[in-house]
Parts: sequence; structure tokens; C-alpha cells
Amino acid sequence: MNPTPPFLRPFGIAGLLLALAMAGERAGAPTAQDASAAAQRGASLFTGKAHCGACHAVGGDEKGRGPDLEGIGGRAAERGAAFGLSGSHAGTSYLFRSLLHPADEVVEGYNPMPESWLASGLDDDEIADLVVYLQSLGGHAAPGEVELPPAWLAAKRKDYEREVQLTSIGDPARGKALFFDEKGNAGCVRCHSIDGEGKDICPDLTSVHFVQRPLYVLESVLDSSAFIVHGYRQLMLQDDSGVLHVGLKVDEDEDVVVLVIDDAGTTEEVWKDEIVDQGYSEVSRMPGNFADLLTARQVLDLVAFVLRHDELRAPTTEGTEAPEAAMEELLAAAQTPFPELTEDQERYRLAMSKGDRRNGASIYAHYCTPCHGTDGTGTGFNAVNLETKPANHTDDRRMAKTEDRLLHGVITRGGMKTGRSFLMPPWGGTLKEREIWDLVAYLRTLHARIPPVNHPG
Amino acid sequence: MLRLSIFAVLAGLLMPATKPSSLVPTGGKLAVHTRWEGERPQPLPPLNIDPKTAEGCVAEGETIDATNRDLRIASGGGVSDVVITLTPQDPAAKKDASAETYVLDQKHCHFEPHVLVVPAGSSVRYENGDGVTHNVHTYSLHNKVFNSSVGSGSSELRTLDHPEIVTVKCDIHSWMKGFVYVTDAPYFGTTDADGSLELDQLPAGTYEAAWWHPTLGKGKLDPVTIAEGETSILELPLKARHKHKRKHRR
Repeated sequence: MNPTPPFLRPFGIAGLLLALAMAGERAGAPTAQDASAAAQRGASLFTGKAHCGACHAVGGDEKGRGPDLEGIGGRAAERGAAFGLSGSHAGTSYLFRSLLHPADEVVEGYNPMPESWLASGLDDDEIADLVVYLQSLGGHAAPGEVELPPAWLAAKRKDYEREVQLTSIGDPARGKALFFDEKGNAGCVRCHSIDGEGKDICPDLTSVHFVQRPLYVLESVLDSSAFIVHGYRQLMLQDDSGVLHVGLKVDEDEDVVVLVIDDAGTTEEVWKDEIVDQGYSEVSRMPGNFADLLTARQVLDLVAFVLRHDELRAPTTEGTEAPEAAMEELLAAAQTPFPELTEDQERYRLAMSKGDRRNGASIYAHYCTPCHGTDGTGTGFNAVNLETKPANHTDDRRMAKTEDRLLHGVITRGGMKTGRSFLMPPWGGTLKEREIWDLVAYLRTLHARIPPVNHPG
Repeated sequence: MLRLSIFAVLAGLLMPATKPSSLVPTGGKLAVHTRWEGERPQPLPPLNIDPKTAEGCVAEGETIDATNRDLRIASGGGVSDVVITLTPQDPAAKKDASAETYVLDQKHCHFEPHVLVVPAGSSVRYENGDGVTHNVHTYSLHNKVFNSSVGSGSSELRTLDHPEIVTVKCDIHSWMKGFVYVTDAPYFGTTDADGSLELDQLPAGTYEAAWWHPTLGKGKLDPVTIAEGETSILELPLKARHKHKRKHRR
């Protein structure tokens, strides 16, 4: 989906904003009081509702997750020029772009900024105030330059709402139990804290739902190394005896590199004249096998808890659990198709399945197509010989009713042991467990509806 | 400099004359004895273990062992965790890496053993013999790395293809550290708690020998000769790595 008008598409959002900013020039200039009031409102949004202060400092010594924004209003035009923005409002366009479309440009040494304006629920006026505040940092607050692209904002919000819908079918109360079960397969509390409870080894998750999009949270659980938070990347230094010293680099001088090697803050000095090789670890300190350890339902429950733990704090819902009937209703709702949602749906489906669909495709081509056909419709060359016809894997209704685990079971144990046709052979002896999950992942690409969520147990 | 002395003990001379002879050669043995040379060093500072994080690591009432395993010297002077590798000088005598699976366990919130040697291409099963959940996180520049949550009694099987010393850590119990020494050498071992190691069934011949230790460094040794039915002895004196001097003031 791209709501940018066609004539501006080559320039993306920047072009749109630039055009709108230029349009704004024609509007009546706001007074100095307007400007200062807007900047003040923006300042309180910065530390408050918009949660910018969670990562950015404005002056001071502490290095945050995001760049220090002191003087950003003065630097904005220059930075904008580096990204091809020009004209009298290039600085304002740059601030807009950084805020609304942060993945477009990332300051070196930092992670891409999340689309926090969506997660924190800023309305159009609040976005404008925030930009005026950023202008005022080392520059001039100029509300007249600030013109919003309302249609684009509305489309992004609609997109975001769908994402919330997709990831909110889990039960936060169940998710909470999984989060705090130290002995369980999830046991997030072994490392993370939320609402003041837990360990501070890993990022605190209390405010993550104000900053990150729901699909990011889901992705973090399923593929933790896709995105390692800045400041959590481990440096590996190999000395001349072959030992890899591992830790977070905290200091360096002409002689040594200082690494923090454990959570107690123990430091180790590695002599530079002994270092023969080095690299950063691409693997997160968060384990990467939760997609194997947890059912899809458990993953959704956890995501629901992280995103909606505020609801559990409210006295009205504390300790209550959604009744089973309501849960079923939610799950059924999740299975009804969202016609305009194909891209998200696809992403969701792939995120939910444990396997590698590309590998699944080649296994399918080798073992399954003789009966199920190259297009998965159950019309392979061998189908004519079979009394009971092979399953049609493109049948939306049927496939949407079949859980991943059941598909896995039928492939592994064969039709006879799972109440299906005895003509479906068991593949558990031929294929590895991983390959069977790859097949399941591939099967999920053959039909359009969202698959059902696995039930716990 | 390291001094190395090898004695071939002619065990056969001490054996009774009626020793049954075998047509299949069973090879010879190498007995390695490490010995700390000079004054004993101060032990490394103990591991920094937060008692709350260590809950469940040991039985109630017991205290977790905080010894830093990177340098352990036995009362007799032997050094633990010294890796010895042997490669036949005759390329024809080189055998293929063994296909067996090696186990790195987690016990009382420490990796067991502290140093595991495996031939390149073999599999390591990372086990969890504790009652608490661990995660196994490998660090390497040349091998495939991973980080997996491994619950009590579960395990994770992975292959290591390239010779390298892989560092293994647990992020939940961040003091936990172990090494997997991946080698191309067909014969290898690590010294035990007394600082000794015995390698047997070594085909007769001459071998290139090398040693490695987590904090004492590494080195090449004089070639080792193994004779059929005999035990060769390798004395390995060890001392601290050279002291660094700061060139610059901090």
C-alpha cells in the first residue's frame, strides 16, 4: 500500500512532505506566541506520551539508544541536504521524515528508529507540535512550515490498527503466566522485567508497547537475532592463543580494550598487541528457539501480555481470564479473512510457522507432488490410481480448519493413524522433524486464509 | 622457554614373559604430566555470582562454586584443562575425524567440562543436567553460531566444522563460560583435575604435538614418538604468560 500520490512516488514520503511543506508556505504565518505554545506542548509530548525520551536525550552526558537531539533544529537542514532535500523548508521536511518514516535514514551507529508515533497513538496536532519542538532545539520554531499529510497518516494508522488486531487475539492473562513462569519454556522473567518485576539483564519491557509496533514484538519472540538492540551487541576479540574474549566494549586506550564480560559488571582487559582477529556477534543474547519451544498460541499470548499488560494492571480485569467461549470467538474472528490485508497476513502466517517454506517447497516437489500435484490441488499424476483422492492443499476452508500441529502429525504418522486416508503414507521415518515443519510452512503458502492457532497442551 | 622431556618407558621389560601376544597392533600410549613451574600464582579472582540469579543452581543449603576455571592448579602442581593435540608426521597415517557426538553438559551452573576438544566436523550435544533453564550461546568467528534456550533435561545438537576455539556462554547465568576446542588433529585430550592425561591406542610413529590452555597460551612441542605396546611420557612444564607493561598511562 502506498498512499503517496502517483506524481510524487519517485520521491517517496520525502517528496510528499516537501510538497506539503511548500504548500504550507502560502498559509498565514502563525504568531510568535503560537510558535512558543506549540513548542511547549511538543516538549511535554517528547518526554511524555510520545516516549521519545526513552531513547533520545537532549543534551547531557548519557549516551542513549538514539542520537542526542540537542541542536537538531539547527542541524536539520544540513542533514536534510545529505538526503537530497533542498529548499527553504528542507530542515522541517527532514524532521518530518525522521519522525514519520524513520527507516528511510538511520544515523550511523544506531538502530533504525521504530514508528513510535503510531505505537504511542499521536494525533495529527500532536505530531505537528512535536516537530515544532524539534525545530526549536537549536533552530526556530516555525509552525507555518509544518503541514501534515493527513491521508498518508490516516492510511498508516489504519494499517497499524490491523496489526494490533492481528496480534491481539492472544490472552494477556495466559501470557502473563508464561512470562513469569521461571521454569517454563518461555520464562521471560529470567532475563526481562516488566512493571517493576523481573530481572534487569535484558531490556525492560514495560514501555515497549508505546514505542514498537506489534509485529516487531512478535518478530522479536520468533526471530530474536533479526534485530539486536543497540548497545547489546557483543564484541568478540580473538587473542594470539586463539581465545575469543566476549563482552560489551566499554572502554579502550592505546594498550587495551575493556570488555564487560558478565551481568555483575566484571571487566576484562584484552591487550591490543595480542588481538589477531575480531568481530561482532550476530546472535542476540535472547535465545532464538522460542518458535520451537512454544506453540503459536503461547507466542500470541505472550505478545498480547507484552502489548496489553496495562490492562491487567487495571483493577477491573486483574486476575480474570477471558472465558473459553470468548477465546474461541476471538480465534474464530482471527480466522475470518481480511481481504485487504494480504501482505500482513502473509507476514503473520510466515512468522507463525516454524519452518523454512523454501526448503518445504523443494521437499514438497520431491515427495508430495506425485499425488498432491505440483499446484497442491490434489491432482498429481498418481491421484488417478487412488481410491480416496489426495487432499487439496489450496482448499481455504479445509486448510484454515487444520492446525499446524495436526498437519505435522498427519505427515509424520500417516493417514491411517490420524483418521485420514490410509493411502497417505507416514513420512516420519523418511523426513527429519525440521523438514516436516518446513513442509508445514510451505503448505501455509498454498492457501489464503489465516491458519488456526494451536491450542496449548 | 618450555623444556620438554620424553621418556619411553619400556613397559614390556617389566611384563611377565607369558604376556599373550596379539596379532592386531593396539598401539602405544602417551602419558602427559603438566607441572607448574616456579612459585604458585595467586588464584584468579572468583567469579562474580549474584546469589539471586544463582537460585536453583545447587541444592538448598549449598553454595555455588565460584572458582574461576580459567586457571586451576592441583595441589601436586598439575594444571587442568590443558589441551594436547597429536598429528602424525606421516600423512598416510592421518585418520579421519571421528564421527561420534561429544557432550558439553551444564551442571551446578557451570559448563562441564570447562574445555571440550572435538574434531572438526563433529557434533556437540549441549545438555542441561541442572534443574534450572539455561541458554547455550556460542561465539565464533568461523563456525555457525546459535543461542538456544535449553530447559532442564533437554539438549541442543550442533555441528562444528572449522578448527577454532569456540567460546560458550549462558546469558541467564552470565558467569558461565566454557570452551569448545575444534581441532584438525586426529588425536587429542585435555588434562584432568590432577593435570594429567593419558592417550592410548596411538598407532606407532612420530607425531607433531601442541598444547593450549585458556589463560596460559599455546605452544608447539618437540615431536613425540610412540612405540607399539609402550608408554611414552611427556612432561609439560607451564608458567604464566609474559607480563604486559603499559606503554601508555591511563
